[in-house]
Amino acid sequence: MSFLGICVYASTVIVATAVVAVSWRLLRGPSSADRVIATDMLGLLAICLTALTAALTGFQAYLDIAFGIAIFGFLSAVAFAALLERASSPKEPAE
Amino acid sequence: MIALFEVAAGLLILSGATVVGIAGLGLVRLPDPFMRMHAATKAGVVGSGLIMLGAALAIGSVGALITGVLGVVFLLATSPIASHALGRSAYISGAPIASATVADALAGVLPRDVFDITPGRALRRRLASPNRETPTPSGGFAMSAIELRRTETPGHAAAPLALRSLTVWLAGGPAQPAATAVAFDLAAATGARVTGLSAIDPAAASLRGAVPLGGLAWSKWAGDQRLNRMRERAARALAEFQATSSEATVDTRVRHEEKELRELTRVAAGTDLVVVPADIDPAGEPARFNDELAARLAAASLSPVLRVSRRPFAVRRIAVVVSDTPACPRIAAALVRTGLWPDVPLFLVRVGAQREHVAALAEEQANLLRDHGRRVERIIDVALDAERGEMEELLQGFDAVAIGACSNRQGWFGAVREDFHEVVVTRTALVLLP
Repeated sequence: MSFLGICVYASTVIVATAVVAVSWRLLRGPSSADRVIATDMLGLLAICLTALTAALTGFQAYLDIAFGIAIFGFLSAVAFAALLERASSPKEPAE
Repeated sequence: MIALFEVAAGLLILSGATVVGIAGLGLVRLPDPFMRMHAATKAGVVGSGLIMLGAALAIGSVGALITGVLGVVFLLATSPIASHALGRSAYISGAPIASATVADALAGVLPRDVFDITPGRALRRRLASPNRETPTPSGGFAMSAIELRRTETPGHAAAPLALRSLTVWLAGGPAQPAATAVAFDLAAATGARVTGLSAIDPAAASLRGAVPLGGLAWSKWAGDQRLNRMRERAARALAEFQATSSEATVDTRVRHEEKELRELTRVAAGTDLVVVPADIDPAGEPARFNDELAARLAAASLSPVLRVSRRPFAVRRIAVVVSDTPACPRIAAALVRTGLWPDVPLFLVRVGAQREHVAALAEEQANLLRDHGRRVERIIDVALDAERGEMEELLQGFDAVAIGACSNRQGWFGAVREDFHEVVVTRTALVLLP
């Protein structure tokens, strides 16, 4: 196995560990802000995993997929922020 | 050459993964959502950016490199916006702030909910006093106050009750420093707990009255501007309060609430005394007499209000003004219950003493005060139609006045107006409204 292969496999293991950790935070909370942050972080981890897949398989299309996930992650983060802000604005009772 | 690229790609990927792993660790271990967000966005962006670059290098084609670099640029451009929006919403939704945080610079600038798991947001709790009560959530305040009075046995009725807790209304305005200072003086003298309440009523910010043609567009804007000004003033007053409290050895707490004024008075009701700066209305703008915040709070009659316009040198003489405003029967009770200035001589001022019910009321008040060991030095009579200059002369040398209302209107549609009240309010430093 080449040096690159070792690096990619090791990185996959590290990122998978991070996925477990972030999922724990997503389930645990305690505030909804924590969950939103964890969701955002999961998007970043998905970018990482897709890029690692690209490096492993050599398909360039996976990099484009990572790019798409980045766009969706950004949009979802902004939408979640707006939702959280509106749900707790003083005019309406908080959820 | 190809081997060099591969090694570079491998190192990039490995370092990116390490950063991502540390970010995941930080998301688990850091104490509050804001720190977690710092870990997630900064480290996460660097990590995934490095991994994307490494993957692009590993593939090695021009198209892959372009996509990788574009992806990194996109991440760097969008993640600050996303994390800013997330942090703002986290603050507004009342996400708890870890106790390691030194200052809350957004206090009073952004509205903030109370997060339900940790009730209250006592940011700084130090100077532990041995007999401190546990902080109660907002619903329990009124209950604790009632209980406090019920434990008073009849045998102890003659002893004045001590001031246990007082609230300073942090609304800004020119009299705010004096109000804060007076509150800390009182607390230092009696050992009471001081709560700084930076309370904002969003409804008070909206413009009332007629709106000119096409004005709806800007009236909302103007309302927002007013709300922002209120928040800035409250934040300044809060900073001042915290600066004072860090010097004084007084048990202090800070609360920030954004509710309707009725709810806010209820929040302040649990304390024995509410200290309010003079000459401002609930929105923090200059106001007079009946529109004042102090008058509005006193009208709610939940707890005595001390209206502070300046800080007196020392309280040597107190006037108790008895007329026929509705709150008059409670004046002496308020003085006794709060236990303010126990050794200072009182001067009972009767306004319109020829009227029987005023005379009877004054008699009652004097007896109550004497029963509780207060010294009623003299009874002064003032005619109903006294001149303004006369009253100003009379009020010379009084440092504090206990009075039923800031301004009193009587008769049909408030046609008769006793301006004794207004002279009192403009001349004296401290006005106690029961």
